[in-house]
Amino acid sequence: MYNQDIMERFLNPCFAGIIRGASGVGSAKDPNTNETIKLYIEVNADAVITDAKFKAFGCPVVIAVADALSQMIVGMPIEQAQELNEARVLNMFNEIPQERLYSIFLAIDALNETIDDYAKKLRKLQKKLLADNKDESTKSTEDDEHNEENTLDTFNDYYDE
Amino acid sequence: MNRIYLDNAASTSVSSEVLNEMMPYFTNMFGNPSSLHSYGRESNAALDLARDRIAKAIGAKPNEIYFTSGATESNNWALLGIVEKYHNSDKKHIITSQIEHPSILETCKYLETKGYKVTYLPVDSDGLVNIAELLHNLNNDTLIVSIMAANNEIGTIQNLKAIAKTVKERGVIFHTDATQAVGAINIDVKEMGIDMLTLSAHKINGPKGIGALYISNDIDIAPIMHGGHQERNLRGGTVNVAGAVGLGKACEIACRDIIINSQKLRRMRDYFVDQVMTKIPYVKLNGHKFQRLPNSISLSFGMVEAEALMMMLDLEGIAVSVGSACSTGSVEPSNVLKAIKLSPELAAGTIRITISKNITKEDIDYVVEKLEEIVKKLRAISPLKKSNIGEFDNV
Repeated sequence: MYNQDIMERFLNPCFAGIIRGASGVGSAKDPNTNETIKLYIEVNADAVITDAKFKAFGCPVVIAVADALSQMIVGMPIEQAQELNEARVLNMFNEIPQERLYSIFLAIDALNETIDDYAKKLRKLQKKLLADNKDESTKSTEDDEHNEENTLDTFNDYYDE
Repeated sequence: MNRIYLDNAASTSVSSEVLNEMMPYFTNMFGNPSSLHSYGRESNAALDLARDRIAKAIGAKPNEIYFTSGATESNNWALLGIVEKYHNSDKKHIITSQIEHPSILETCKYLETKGYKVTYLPVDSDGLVNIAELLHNLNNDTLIVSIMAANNEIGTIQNLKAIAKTVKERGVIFHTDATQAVGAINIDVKEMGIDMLTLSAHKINGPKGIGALYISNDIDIAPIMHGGHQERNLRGGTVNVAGAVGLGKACEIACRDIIINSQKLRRMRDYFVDQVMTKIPYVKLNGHKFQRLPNSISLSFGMVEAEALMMMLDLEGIAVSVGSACSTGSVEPSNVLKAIKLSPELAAGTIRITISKNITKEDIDYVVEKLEEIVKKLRAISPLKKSNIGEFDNV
């Protein structure tokens, strides 16, 4: 049996679920065990993660770690989430058995994939809006700041899973 | 909380009949069976009776039964003892199967490091060894073939007699690990042509820490335990007398009740599987559909990870075993599930349920109800899609 902190998250994972039209979605799979974590993040105009959800196919530790990571990144600026390392996740638990430590790497891999996906979507959207703006430049005289707000406001509606 | 034990392939409880026979050998009859005085003679007589009972259970002669500490020692001894005996010969080839217990597979791997060539025969999707493949691999260098009688994870029963015949016709020694098979299928070593056979007490309602190796009188073997004249100079160490008495009694009962137990277990097993298949979609039953141990059910649940499932069942008082990891500390997929070519995702979702004769329909209904609840809960958080993880028996 695992520690209480692992068991509590495993039995009642508060962050299990999906986010429709998430700003970023990414998953990682352990090559040995095929255990998988899929992460969804919602990012606001200030590049802060406002919500996170996960789905997991894995042992109790994988589920608990995915839940802990999701909780940890909510309210975190993307830049800071990018810097997250295995040690930070490990610190959220009293003890993770040695043979289950790969769960932490799996969760960080899933997070990195999710942030990559967010960045990709953001770039794509910026490119599209830039092109739209070019087309409309003759008609429009809106300033840069306003454009940026538009970009971020439409972001979440634009991409659906 | 009412607890339900469904892991009888791992170990069983000691039956009261067995325990009653064992008890005096912990207290009044404690003599060393090698001692010549009356205390020793009492213990030695108990060993003789136990040997008789075990021999009778498998169709052997009493002087062909050697007590060991259990199946792992018996399996190690069978391979290492023969290798040691024939180390000066040119025969340096061993055949086994990919679905053996680690005590055979790891011993074979060890022997590979000592220069032996080992063929690990594949099995089909039901877990059966192909006899033609066995025949094809037997050659003049083959020293010993070891193929288990019935598999501990998926329950498939091999065509033992045909395998033994094939091996014996080539003049090769045949060993079988019958740890899971004794008491479940009829075994007659003489009629089947088996040279050596491993058995263990705690799988058949006997105590832990005692087993035996049957070695035909026609076979020469070297000891691997030195420093004692016990067991006809072949296995040093004072025999665990109470354990041996327990093993003897457990063998006697297992054979006495084999027909009635098998019938009941088969009926309950099939009811269990029917209920699961009716109530839970995306499930696969592993192992041979008919040629399977009467108490064994290996089920793969799509989109669900087995340890998570096992843990939640445990919290409901239901003990099952995870098919994809051989023990805590190992997260490698099971060699057996790999060998029957189960997809990695289904292998990761496989649990083993092994029932006892005491199970009731009410127990099964309760377990299936909990299984249904838990599988639903875990599938709700699973990112896997049913379309790309393998074939199911029901949808």
